[in-house]
Amino acid sequence: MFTDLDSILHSQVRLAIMSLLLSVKTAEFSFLLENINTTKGNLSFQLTKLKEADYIEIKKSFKGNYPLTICEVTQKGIDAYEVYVIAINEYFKEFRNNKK
Amino acid sequence: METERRDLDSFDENQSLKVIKEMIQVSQKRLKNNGILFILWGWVSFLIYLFEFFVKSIPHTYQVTMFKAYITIALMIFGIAFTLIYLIRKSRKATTYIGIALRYIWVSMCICMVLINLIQFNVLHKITFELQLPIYMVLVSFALVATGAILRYKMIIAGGIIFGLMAYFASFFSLQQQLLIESIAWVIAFIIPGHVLYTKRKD
Repeated sequence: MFTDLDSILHSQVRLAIMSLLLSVKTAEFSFLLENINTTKGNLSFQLTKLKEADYIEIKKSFKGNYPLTICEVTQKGIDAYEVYVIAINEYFKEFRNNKK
Repeated sequence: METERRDLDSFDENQSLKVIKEMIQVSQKRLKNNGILFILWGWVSFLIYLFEFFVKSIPHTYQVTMFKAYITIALMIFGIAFTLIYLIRKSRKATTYIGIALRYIWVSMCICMVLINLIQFNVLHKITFELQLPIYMVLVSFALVATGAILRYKMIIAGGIIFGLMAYFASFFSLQQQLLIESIAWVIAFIIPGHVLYTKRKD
């Protein structure tokens, strides 16, 4: 039996955001945009979804005249990511066993 | 409609593994050190110690002493200013845990240097530079090995170990010779690895 994959994380952009945020303490919106292949609007939308799930924290401020968005992964987000990776591993283990 | 479209980006397990791998590569790329600070501090320290060595081998005059002081201060100010601007620019978009750890190591090393001077003065009632120089080298060696271990660069770890051994070797000599040994140590432990990292930065 497979563990159900977390629907919040099982999305290309959201998984990419979480994978990137886990390796840093904080990251600016522009850093995520540079490294994830998506549009500004979609990134903003997916960040809001992750925030609603309490997987990340978003701090908004201003740097000069420009808005500055800083993202940070939460403990809940880290736990969810770990569970997701374990579930994916199980899937591949089962896949390899079936192949044999 | 837009919301629906955006939600339809669910994908299969193979793709999710691919995304995780790609993002790990992005993180690893960020951790790659381009060696700029190693080159900078390698050259700054090498020039300061070598200059000090040559100054000690000529008769002391007021002009020479002042010239030496100005050169040392100018090089230190340049090094600190460049480092601060470089680090602020680099950490602007994302702050990494490794960056924070490295900052703690090098800042605490500098604080330890000041404390060692204060302790030495309290115990011996004077600053003995023959003792101070090798001890400072040991501190730098420790910070180098720790940095190399965190960044997983064997060349930096090796440089740190050589730096520590040269500190011990330097303790057998007079201050003037210690200065020459230390300047060579900076070339081996900082300038050479720094240039190698800089050459490999695009790999």
